[in-house]
Amino acid sequence: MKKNYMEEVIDFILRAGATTSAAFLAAGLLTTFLTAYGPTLGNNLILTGILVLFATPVARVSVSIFMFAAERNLLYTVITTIVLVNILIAIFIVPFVLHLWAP
Amino acid sequence: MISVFLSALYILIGLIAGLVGSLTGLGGAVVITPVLSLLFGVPLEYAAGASLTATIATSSGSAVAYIKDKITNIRIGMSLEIATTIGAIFGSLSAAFVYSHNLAYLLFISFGLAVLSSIYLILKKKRTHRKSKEDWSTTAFQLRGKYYDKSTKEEIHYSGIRWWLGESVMLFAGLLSGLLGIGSGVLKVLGMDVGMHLPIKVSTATSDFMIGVTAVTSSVIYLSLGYIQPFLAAPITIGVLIGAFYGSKVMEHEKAGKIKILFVAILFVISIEMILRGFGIA
Repeated sequence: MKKNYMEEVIDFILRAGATTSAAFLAAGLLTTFLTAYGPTLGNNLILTGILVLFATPVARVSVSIFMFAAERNLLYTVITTIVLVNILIAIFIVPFVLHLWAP
Repeated sequence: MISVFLSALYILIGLIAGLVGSLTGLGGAVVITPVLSLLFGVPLEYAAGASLTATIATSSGSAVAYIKDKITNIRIGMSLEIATTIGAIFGSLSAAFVYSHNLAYLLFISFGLAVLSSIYLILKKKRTHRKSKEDWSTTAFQLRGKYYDKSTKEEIHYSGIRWWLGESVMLFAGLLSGLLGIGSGVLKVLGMDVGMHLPIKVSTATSDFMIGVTAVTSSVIYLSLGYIQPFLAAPITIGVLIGAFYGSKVMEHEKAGKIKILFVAILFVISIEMILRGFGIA
């Protein structure tokens, strides 16, 4: 029961993320070429699409932590938390280190 | 300079790459990066940035079908992502170092070699599921699972072994992902199939599922260094999504045999070209 629930939630997140970001990317290109707003708005729409794209797997991992916790699966709650921490290190610490490296 | 023509061309490239990627099982990035860099003169880092973006999209899009069929083992995937994310961090840091020191030729060579070995692994595949003796990690990391096989109409129970071996292979897969801007799907499947003795269907589905997280971890540096260009990444990603979707449809019909051989031959030529380019010959 619980496991089916987990699969459905993850399925929903991935599906919604992929669809939303594809819509933003397409809207960005169409805006650029077909409307008077031109590349500035188009560029922002595309960046939004890319951010949604990036956020999708991160959301999938974050939500899984709570779902493993709800299943009272301590080991996998910890494992999934480690994965999220790794991703957060990549997002917040690595670029910072990089700029110290080569300013 | 953004032109309608160039965008349409990028969508077309993405479309073909997505098709080739899903038909050969090698993923789209393997085609995008060489085509953009060899034929269109796009610098390798921008080509890799665009292909990583497309890789994330394909993973989110294609993982869905397998999760619905309950073939993906979410637990095993999650536990192996510890290693792929750590590998991806170090791989992308290495890529940043290589690009800032004008050593891109090393990556052309590595990319070519990675594709060549992937082709080799893809061609010698078709391992059947073997029952193997469970070890301590089977219980410790909860590596048992089951799925319903549509083609044989039976429920398959399996248990993974050698978790540490799978984890080691994933570290390397993550490293390559960050370094070359690819999803490393072939290596991931190998780690689960040969390393952990998981059924090939489970390995493939779980690999697709994992690629998104690995690629996002790799991509952050590409994004922060400005290697992901919106007007290159967007059309490529849209094209790949469409191509991968149709590729999976063709795959279901199993008519793909001859096209697949043709694509593998093209990939072979591409990887040789990449290596030659790395040595400054092409």
